[in-house]
Order: sequence, then C-alpha cells, then structure tokens
Amino acid sequence: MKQSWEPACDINYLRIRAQMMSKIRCFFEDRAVLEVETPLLCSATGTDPQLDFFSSYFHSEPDNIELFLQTSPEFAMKRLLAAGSGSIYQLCKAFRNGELGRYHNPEFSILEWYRVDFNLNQLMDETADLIVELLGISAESISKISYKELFEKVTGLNPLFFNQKEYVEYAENNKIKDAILLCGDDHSMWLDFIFSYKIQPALKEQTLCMVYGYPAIQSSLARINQSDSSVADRFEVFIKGIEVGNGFFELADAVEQERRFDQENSARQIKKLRTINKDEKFLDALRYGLPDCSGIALGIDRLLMSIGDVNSLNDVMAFPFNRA
Amino acid sequence: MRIPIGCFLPIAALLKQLRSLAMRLFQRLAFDKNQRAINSASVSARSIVKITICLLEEKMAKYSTNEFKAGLKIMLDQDPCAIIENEFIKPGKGQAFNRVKIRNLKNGRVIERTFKSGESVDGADVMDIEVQYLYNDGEFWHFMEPESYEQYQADSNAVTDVVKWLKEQDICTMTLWNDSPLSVSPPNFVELAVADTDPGLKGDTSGGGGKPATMETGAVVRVPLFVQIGEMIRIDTRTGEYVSRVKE
Repeated sequence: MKQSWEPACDINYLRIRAQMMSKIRCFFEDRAVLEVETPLLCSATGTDPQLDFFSSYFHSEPDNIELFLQTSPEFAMKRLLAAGSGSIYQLCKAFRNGELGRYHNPEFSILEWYRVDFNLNQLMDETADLIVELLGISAESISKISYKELFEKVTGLNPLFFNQKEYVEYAENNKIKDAILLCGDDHSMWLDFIFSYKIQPALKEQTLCMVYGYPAIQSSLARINQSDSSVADRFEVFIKGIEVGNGFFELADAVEQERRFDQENSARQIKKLRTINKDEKFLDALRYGLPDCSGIALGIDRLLMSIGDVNSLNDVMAFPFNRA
Repeated sequence: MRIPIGCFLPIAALLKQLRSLAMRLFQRLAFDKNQRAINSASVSARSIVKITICLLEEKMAKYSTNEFKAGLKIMLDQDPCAIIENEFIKPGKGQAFNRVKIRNLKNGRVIERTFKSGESVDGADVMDIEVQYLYNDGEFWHFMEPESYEQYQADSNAVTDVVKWLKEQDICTMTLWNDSPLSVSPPNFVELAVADTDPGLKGDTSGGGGKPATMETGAVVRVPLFVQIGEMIRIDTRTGEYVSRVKE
C-alpha cells in the first residue's frame, strides 16, 4: 500500500507523459501550429449547465474580484484566433468542479487546438494522425461513423427524432429501466444515458473511433450543419470506448452564441444553479470576427490511460485528487 | 391557580442540558458511524443516541451521490441497502450519472441503480454489532450483546440458514436496522461436535473421498473418513467445508 505522500502512478508514467508532451509539440511544430498560453484564472467562464467550475477571489479590498478556473481554454483561444493568430494549440490544465471518478479528476491536462480554414473532416483526419503517432497504433484501426448510424446500429433507435414511447420500450428491454424515470421527456438526457450505458461499451473493441454528426440538441459550441439542420458539426473521439476528445466546426456567429449563453443560463435557473455573466470579451471577439476554423480538445490523462493497460486515471497521474 | 413563571426556568435549563448532551452524543455517533459498532455505548446511552438520531433525522438522513462510496448504507425502495460500487459517469458535454451497485441487506440481492449526480437519497440506520447466540424458542432466535446485556430476538428471515453454524454461547455479528435484527453472520470459522456420521475405517488418514457428517447444530458437512461421532471439528462457514479436527 502506498503512503499518501507518494505518487499514485508508477514513475514510468512520468516518462511516458513527458514523451507524449514532446511528441505533441513536435507534431504541431512540423505543421506550423503556434503554441500559446492563455490564463487559467479568468474573469468569466462558460454557461454550460453541465459544467461546474471552481471560482476564487482576487483580494483587492473593498472590491474582491471573482475569478474562475477555466473549464477549457476555449474562449481565450478564440479571442486569439479573432485577433489573427492563425492556427494555435495549447497544453494546459483545465478544472471541472464535482467531477471525480475512474475517468474524471477535477484538475486535468488538456490539449486544445484550432485550425483556421479546416473543416470538420480535415480536423478529424489530423486528430487521427496525431493519435496514431502518440499511441503507435496502425492507421487501419481507425473508424469513423456518424452518430445516427452508430446509435441505430446498437439500439435501433433514431437519435435525431425523439419518440419517447420507443425509447421507453428500448430501456425496458435492455436493462436500463432507470432511464425511464430519470430522463422522462428530456431527449438530450436520454441520449446521454443510452450513449454512456450502451453505445460506449459497444465501442470497447475499437482502438480509435470517431463519431461525427451529433444531434443538434447536443451542439454545444459547434455549428449546426448547413445541409442538415438536425445535426451539429461536432465529433467525438473514443479510444476503446472511452471519450478522449470533442471537436467542433466552431460557431462564429456572435448573435447565435449569445442566444446559446442565454438559453444555458435559463437552463441553469431551472436547475437552481447560479447564472453566469456572459463572457463579453469573448462575444466581442466573435462580433469582431472569428475566422472559419475547427477546434478540438483532447484529455491528455485519458490518452495516457489508453497507452498502458490501466483502468483508472489514478494509474497515470502523479497526484490525483486524493493525493493533491 | 397560577404557576409562577420562575417554575419554567429549571425545565428550560434541563432541556438545554439534554440538548447539549444529545448534540455531544450525536457528534460521537457521527464519528463512529462508519465503524462496526458503538462499542462502549451502554444501553441507556444507545437509547439516547437513538432519540438524538430521531431529533436530528432530517440532518443526517440524506446522502448526496457525491458522498456515495462502498459500504454506505442507504434506503432504496423502502429497503436498507449497502453500496458495493459507485461509478461516476459523465460525457464531456452532458448529464452526469452515478451508476451504483447495491446490495439489498434484507434479501442479499445485488442490483444496479443509476442516479442523476447531485441527487440525494435517505440514509439507512444500519449497524453491525457483536452478539452472543443464546437460544432458540421454536419461533425466534435470541441473542445478547455481551457488554450491554441488551437482548435481541431475530426471526427466521434474519437468521436464515446461518443458524446451522451457531451453537449456544457462540459470538457472531448481527446487523441492526432501526434497532431490530436484519441479518446475522457467523464467524468465519466455527468448532462443532459431530453428532452423527457413518463409522469410518480405522487407520484411514488419507482424507480422500470423505463422508457426510451431521453436526450438533444440524449442519451437514463432508468430513474425512477417520472423523468419528463425538469429535470436534473446525469448519469454514464461508465455504461450509471441513478444515481440521480440534484436539480437546
């Protein structure tokens, strides 16, 4: 049994992590993507009701200024993009309050990058290239599938059209009865539930699977697809069924972005969560003009997990939550 | 007749004292909550603790999913249950769930349940105590906590087939729910006398094959051929297997 001062992971994982970081830097240097740094402590944060944040105060009596540990460096990086930085990447820490478990640590390492003039497909290809290089897997082991096709293949349900009766029937027949009461008529929650319980386990056998065309109701900060408004230009990366990244063709419309902030804030009110001031600097950047770009964030710690045959973040982090 | 207001003062003082005693006991209980039992609490102290629990029920009865961990006792479908495993599930941009494996302490069945993260459930007032088995009156099995002399009577639902390992005076673990026996578990090893078995071949010490033997408590165990009626043997109650002979 390890003492609490000792690192949780094997010392070897420190080396593997360092190697991964340097490989990532080489990868982007070769492609002329600029490494940047943005603040971890910001005066604003996202409104997503599913993301809880840490906040802190800068002491300057009598007005203590509230600052938020960022849940991802997205807003600040988009401000750089609007200012003409060109394609950029960042390796940094991100913080999410209340998330703790085998695959969650409230403080984790993130690789986030944005490619100017890339469409979603190009970004998916580049993501595959990077992961192939980092994990040393063969390019043939990569599969791409649309959310709808995957969902239908595993469950027989249409994820884009909510037929509650069919969903309930599916839950009853597939040992996820709890979903019926929990999700009720909340389509998005049904999708999260079924995806977590049925789809992800079905992806276990696949080394690397990219799922694109998420339902529009789960668009987050992605654009709605131009030719099919029922899906968003968003994809997710799964390694052996574990979610490691989330990519978007980035929403650049300031009006639409502000509408989503307002929408999320009303969702927060319904859930009795505090509402968040919209990040005006970010909105101003969008108003000024964000170049067409695609961006993605990958969880470094989960990527490390997939290298070894380990099944908890504790096995790859020196000082996870209970040792921090 | 009018009661002078001053008469109420001692009552108020007494209530205040009782309240502070209750608070102290409650803190103590909270401290002990996860341990096997409130060992040193005497009968009266335990009753007071119980009263305190009732007083403060609202405060202690709820557990949020964030507090879920193996061993936590919660109420589910009106039954007391123990959490075996808790997994936090959350898509990067989506609803967080807690997927929990739970043992129903009444019937031992293991089920899986999902909660929305942040939800709260009622805690179950369940604890384990060491008791001595006294006797069976035909309908109930009687046990006593040696330190407090407090007695408990358990019905067949609580003792199940565990009684076949218990002889009078033996110490075992009893799980209480709201102060009444929920289940009884025997020690891992018990020593019982053989009440009946076929006379084996003298000199056979190989132990291969074996034969059934009925213990003094009624349990039937496979024993080596050399074991004779009247001998004491050691048995592993988890597997129901013979371990060795016990030299008197």
